[in-house]
Amino acid sequence: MRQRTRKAFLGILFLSPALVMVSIFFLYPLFKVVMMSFQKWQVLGASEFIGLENYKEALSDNEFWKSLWNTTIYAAIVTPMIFLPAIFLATALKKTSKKTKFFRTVFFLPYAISFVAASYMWKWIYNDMYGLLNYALISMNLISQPINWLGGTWSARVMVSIMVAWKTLGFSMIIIIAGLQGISPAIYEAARIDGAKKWQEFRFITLPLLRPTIILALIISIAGSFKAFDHFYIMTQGGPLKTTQTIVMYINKIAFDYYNLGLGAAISVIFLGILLFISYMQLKAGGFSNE
Amino acid sequence: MPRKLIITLLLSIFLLSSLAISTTLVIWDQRPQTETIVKMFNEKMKNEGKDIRAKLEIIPYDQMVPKFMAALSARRAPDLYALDIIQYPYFISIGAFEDITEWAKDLPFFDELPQGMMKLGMKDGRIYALPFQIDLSVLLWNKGMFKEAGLDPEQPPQTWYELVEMGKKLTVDKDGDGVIDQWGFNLAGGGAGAYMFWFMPFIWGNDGNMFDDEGNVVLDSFEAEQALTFWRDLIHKYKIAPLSSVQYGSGDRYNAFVSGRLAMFLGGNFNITSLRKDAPDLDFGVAPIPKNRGEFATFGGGTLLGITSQCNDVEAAKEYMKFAYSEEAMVNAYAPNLMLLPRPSLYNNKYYNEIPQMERFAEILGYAVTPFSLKYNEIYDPVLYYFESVFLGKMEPAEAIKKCTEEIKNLMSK
Repeated sequence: MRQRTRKAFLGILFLSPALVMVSIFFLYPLFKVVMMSFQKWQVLGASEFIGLENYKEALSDNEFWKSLWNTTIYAAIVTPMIFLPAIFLATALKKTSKKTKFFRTVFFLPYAISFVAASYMWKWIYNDMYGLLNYALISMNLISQPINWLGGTWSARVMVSIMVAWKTLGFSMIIIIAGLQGISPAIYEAARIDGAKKWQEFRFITLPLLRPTIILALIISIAGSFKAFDHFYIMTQGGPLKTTQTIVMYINKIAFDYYNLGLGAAISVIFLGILLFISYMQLKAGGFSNE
Repeated sequence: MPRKLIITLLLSIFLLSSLAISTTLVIWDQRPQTETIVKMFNEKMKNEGKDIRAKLEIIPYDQMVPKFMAALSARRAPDLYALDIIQYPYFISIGAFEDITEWAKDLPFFDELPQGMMKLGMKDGRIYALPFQIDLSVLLWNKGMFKEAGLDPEQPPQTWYELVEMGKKLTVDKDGDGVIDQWGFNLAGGGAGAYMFWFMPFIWGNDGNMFDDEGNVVLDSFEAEQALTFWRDLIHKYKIAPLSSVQYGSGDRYNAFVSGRLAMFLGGNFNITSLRKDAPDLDFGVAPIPKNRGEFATFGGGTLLGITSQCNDVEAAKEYMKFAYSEEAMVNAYAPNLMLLPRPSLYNNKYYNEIPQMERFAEILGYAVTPFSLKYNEIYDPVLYYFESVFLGKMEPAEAIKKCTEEIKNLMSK
């Protein structure tokens, strides 16, 4: 018994640095945001408690729903654009050799660039007056007039997603490779002896055993997509006509352009609820609920 | 006994040294060049035997409001803040800045500060901040392209009519493949901030306005509608600007101008230093934005300098402020980078005089207008939506101006 208490104490001791950091930089701000969301927050002077007013205002604002919709569409576009190539690349590069190491590095490299730098770079590539993409397409006679890639709602969504996929698929690829390497070769061997074909191996062994890894990578990726800010802020400024304004851009605008911190906090709390719900559903779908 | 003595001695030295510098002013500013002023000020205070020192903290542009809000809430605001001019009316209204009216009016250079920008630092006739660093919207033109097009390279367009006529000659498909290689003009798009900075001078230059002197919304006018129509026509009728420029940020336009694909460029004084570095062979001029039926106008942007209401030593802060506006401080800190000074009498300095493009800025500063609104940031939303709708050719100017005015009025009455 005493041994156990000591062990528990040691465990807490080792966890405490992380706990302290999480409390200071996550739990306390979270608590503060929730408090603010019930207040008419004043920068100077006493703030007034107004109950659910901020929540009512947020939910009745059309722009909130539009931004949420824009973000959802974006997440729906970008997720398969990251995952399909990531799974493909991971399967191709799962064996460790000099060559695969080289290609893994190549695909992972863009992940090390900041979103801000990548956004500026791709904005330049997409530009219709001096951009690389239009130049290449015109030179190859594929188009006759330069295309304003970021000018249309759908093309802007797709083109920004391409940039994001280019930048982040390396990360998903590495996670999936780690998952693939965790699957025992003995299982494949047994399947082969039973006469399984390649695609059957993939369908009945790889995919089911990879499920926890894929769910983890999906949660990271979808939560990340919902939090999209920098790339749209830089590449489209939410345009054309606010159709690519994401929910975080909207929160930023309400809180820091309109100085309405209480309302901004309320929207953040709603948004947190949405993210938690999505992650929960994903965990459930991944069969994590009974573990 | 000797131990006690040593301890007492050490303690008293410690106390004295902490007393010696009784005031440390914390200054927030976006521009690192202000460090020069701070250093000069500290040197001066040391020489004069005064126990005041200043310390600069650079605040990135994107963070200027969030950081200030957080600091004010936590009662840790800086002593002085060179905050973006358009943010002032709101922060003055909540009492974030100190009233400096009498002191400011006695300053020897007070009368030369740009009056159009002064308004933003005032409330009910009282003064809370003074114009400090200036950003003006101007037209830059590529002289080489003017020559190639058979135009006088020293004569930029002064009127809308000339802008169109010259723009047509400057919009060229050089290799005859049906793709325009060089555009005469670009709209300044990519956000409401850009519309305010570069499009509003077109409304003012047509004798229109967004707010009158009492702060009433007067956007719904023939003059404003005509300016909107003019910008739309630059793309859709005269075809001297690409449709994509509706969404161009200033970086996109700048790149187009530097890479020789754009002849006339809506920019600012802040482009001059980088242009001379990025394109040393590019011969360009600077002119006021073309006008129509009104007078020349430019958006007076930049910062005001104010003493915050959480400043612990207002007298020391005034001492710093007075020094920051002195010829010595301003010319040495800002003029080498061609940053614009709020005092026209200082424009005749050795740094500006070396650069021909700086020649007209003292004059252009006189045209500076800054719209005053407590809800300036909120009007961005309707401005962006309706103006962009017109420029993209999706809404008629008359309808857009009417709806935009309605929405702004709604916002103001909330």
